[in-house]
Amino acid sequence: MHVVIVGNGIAGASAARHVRKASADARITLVSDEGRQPFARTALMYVYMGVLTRAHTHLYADRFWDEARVDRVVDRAVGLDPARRRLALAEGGAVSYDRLLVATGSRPAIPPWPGADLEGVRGLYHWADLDAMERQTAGIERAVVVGGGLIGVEMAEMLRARDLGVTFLVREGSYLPRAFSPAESALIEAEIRRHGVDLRMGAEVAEVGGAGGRVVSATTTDGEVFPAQYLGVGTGVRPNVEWLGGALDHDRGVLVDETMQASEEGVYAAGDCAQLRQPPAGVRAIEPIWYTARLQGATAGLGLAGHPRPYDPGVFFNSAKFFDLEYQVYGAAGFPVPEGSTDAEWGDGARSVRVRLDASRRVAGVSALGVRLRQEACTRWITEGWTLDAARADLSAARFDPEFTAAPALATP
Amino acid sequence: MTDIPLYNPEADLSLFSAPSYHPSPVQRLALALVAVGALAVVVALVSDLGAQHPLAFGLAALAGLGGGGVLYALGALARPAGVHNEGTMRSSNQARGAVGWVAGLVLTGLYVVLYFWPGALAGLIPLGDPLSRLLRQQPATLANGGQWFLYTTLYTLAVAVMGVRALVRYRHSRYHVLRTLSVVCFQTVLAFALPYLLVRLQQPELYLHYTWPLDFDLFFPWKVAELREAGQLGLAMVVWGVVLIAVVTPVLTFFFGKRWYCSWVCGCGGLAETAGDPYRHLSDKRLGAWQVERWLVHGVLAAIVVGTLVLWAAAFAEVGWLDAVAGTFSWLYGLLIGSIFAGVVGVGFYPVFGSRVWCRFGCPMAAVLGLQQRFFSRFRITTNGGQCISCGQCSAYCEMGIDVRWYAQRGQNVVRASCVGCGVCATVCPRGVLRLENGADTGGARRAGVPVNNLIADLDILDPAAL
Repeated sequence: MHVVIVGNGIAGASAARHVRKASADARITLVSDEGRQPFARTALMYVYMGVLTRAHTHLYADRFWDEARVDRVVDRAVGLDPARRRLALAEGGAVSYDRLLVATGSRPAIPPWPGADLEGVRGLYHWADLDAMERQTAGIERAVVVGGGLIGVEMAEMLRARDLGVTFLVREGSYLPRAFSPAESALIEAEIRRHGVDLRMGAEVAEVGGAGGRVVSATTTDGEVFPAQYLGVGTGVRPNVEWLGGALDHDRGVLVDETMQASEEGVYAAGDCAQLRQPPAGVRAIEPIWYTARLQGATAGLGLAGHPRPYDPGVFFNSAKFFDLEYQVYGAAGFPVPEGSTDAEWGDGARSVRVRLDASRRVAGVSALGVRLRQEACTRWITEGWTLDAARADLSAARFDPEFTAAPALATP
Repeated sequence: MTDIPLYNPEADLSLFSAPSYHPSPVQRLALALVAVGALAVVVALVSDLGAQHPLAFGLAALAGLGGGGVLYALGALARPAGVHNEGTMRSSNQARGAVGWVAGLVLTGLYVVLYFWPGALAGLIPLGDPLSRLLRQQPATLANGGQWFLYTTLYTLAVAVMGVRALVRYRHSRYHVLRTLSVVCFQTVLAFALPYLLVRLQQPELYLHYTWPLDFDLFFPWKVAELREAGQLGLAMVVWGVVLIAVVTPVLTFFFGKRWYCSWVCGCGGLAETAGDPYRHLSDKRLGAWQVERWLVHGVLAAIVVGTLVLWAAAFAEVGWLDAVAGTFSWLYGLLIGSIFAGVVGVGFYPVFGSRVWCRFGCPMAAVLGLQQRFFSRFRITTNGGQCISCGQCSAYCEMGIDVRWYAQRGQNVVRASCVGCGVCATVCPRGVLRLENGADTGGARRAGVPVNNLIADLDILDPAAL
């Protein structure tokens, strides 16, 4: 049996590992146009910052892939013929498969600003984006970053690491208002400013100014002009599925059932490019999160190996870092607050913990900034429906902060 | 260690090209001071000016290297507290570029000269003379081993100055602040001030925080005899040495792991954690290096155990050939391990192989502590569920060459003999996935490497019945 996996991001790499774990004799081919080495996309920023070399970001050592007998092919998938079970590659002709995984991720969605196609206007997702950033920021003095999400703040941190002047334009009035309370957003905004970023909330880009084909400024809808020799765009991503044409049923992403199988028998999709037809309660149909891609890839890998099982992500979690402020979220803690739910929030000006209680006063979600919590503990609070008092009593045991870290002085809510 | 591949083949390591290196005006001034100090050292080394003006040259070296170093370190206070490894992989000094190689060769050269041609340091030794008279009421000359006084002074200065750097660099983490203060205090008090105070009081030069097998000749028959002759203090040192290795070490290691010694007390560890900190990532992470490590470090331990027994057998048996074997062992161990491994290779190669070459591959004390930590200790580094993002910083910045990420990716706890518990993996992790723990082996803090939830779904799959 020949399993072909298109895309060697974390979804594709996890799928390849799981196919091999569940099937000793499957032939596995991992196709990517981004290079032979599956790498941690989460570490791209650290290569630019000089914190890591490219080799450090490789998910596993070379011998891992040799021992797992995964054939790695560097090529670009350009078309799929599910009827004949053939995948068309840009260089290597057509490849026959018995089972196939589409794990082509997503690509930065650059808004259609006038001037968006100027050189130096760039998102951050692929090695090619990083190479471009390296080239286009060499010797420059000022940059603008657009988009108050996780990629935007990473780009701001990268550029600050090189002492560039950075203006950070965020459309919303507070930072990620669908994820954070006003107090949490304020903490994040203060942290970004503490690192010398000129953060402008409620600032929307109207157009990008250029000279000689290169970006020179960004103009907001208010008419303010910010000089920029590089414009980093972190306004979101869209599934990278155009190459499939109409080969598979798709909406924004490739539509998949609960086992991550697409509209064609034996063809699966996982990660940023997959869209769940019937997402389980509390799960988004498209969830462009690294952890989600890892778990969907693992699930799809089992299906590819002939042991399909339903995608069961368990209690949601995600994490991020805003400069030096760490962030963890478990369960449902987003905004607007659902009918009947309430939040209990503590903060000491530098750190905060917020617990979301559902209508029956049980823990439904946890959001922590600057405080490390044990995933196991928070997951237990949510699955077992702990009360706020019980969770608070467990808080010191649940802390995962380094030894000697002062306990957060969390005022009573 | 068959080849030394370029550390960062993608980076341009030419001298002034590091894009993240922006010293402040204060730091530029500090670098100028360091240059003055270095110049004073070089001039003294190659001329007799230092011998003619020991105080002036000594102060110039101290103010330049010490004051300049401290000022440079304090300059980093201008940046927000937090993890700052920007530019490490593009620095000529830190990423094994030209500066790193030159620094490695100079350091190695200094050690070779110190151990084998101390006469070449004749011009430098007088620089330590004023301090030596002040501290020990003794001159520092080549004849009375003045090179060792100078060396210990410079060593302590390096730990103190680079300790300030570490304090500034890790000021956001109480663990690192306390750990750094600890090693700096142990070095300045127990390894420098106290031994020389004892000399001044005409007592033996004792180092209370070292014992056999690191202080390898402490239990040699001739050394024990010498200490006994020195009076009650000497005898107490022998007893303390036994208590330290036989009681204190296993008990503290059980509760805290080997880190209580290796990154809180030991002078070798103290230098590695301070002066060696900029080079910690250079440790070899390959599987082969781990294999070499286990053979070598346990081999050295076996050698010193057997050798010490042979020395005692020889002392009692009084057989000619056994005496010869014992004498040869003593000489060879001192040369190969005491001088070449611990000094020349251990410190000289910092900028090439990282800061813990001796601790990882050679130190018999670390081998003892490692065995205790691996099999009889509560210490482990736990992983926070499925949160590892595989970025690789924990492994990259592990000074002991442990591929920490291998464990974190699998949600497994790290229980490794070599881990000195410096805590840097947990500090650099951008998702706070790692934590050093000594607690009882329960709940979310188990010692065994068991993934804590199904988000790293491998376990289910390994069980064929689950399919």
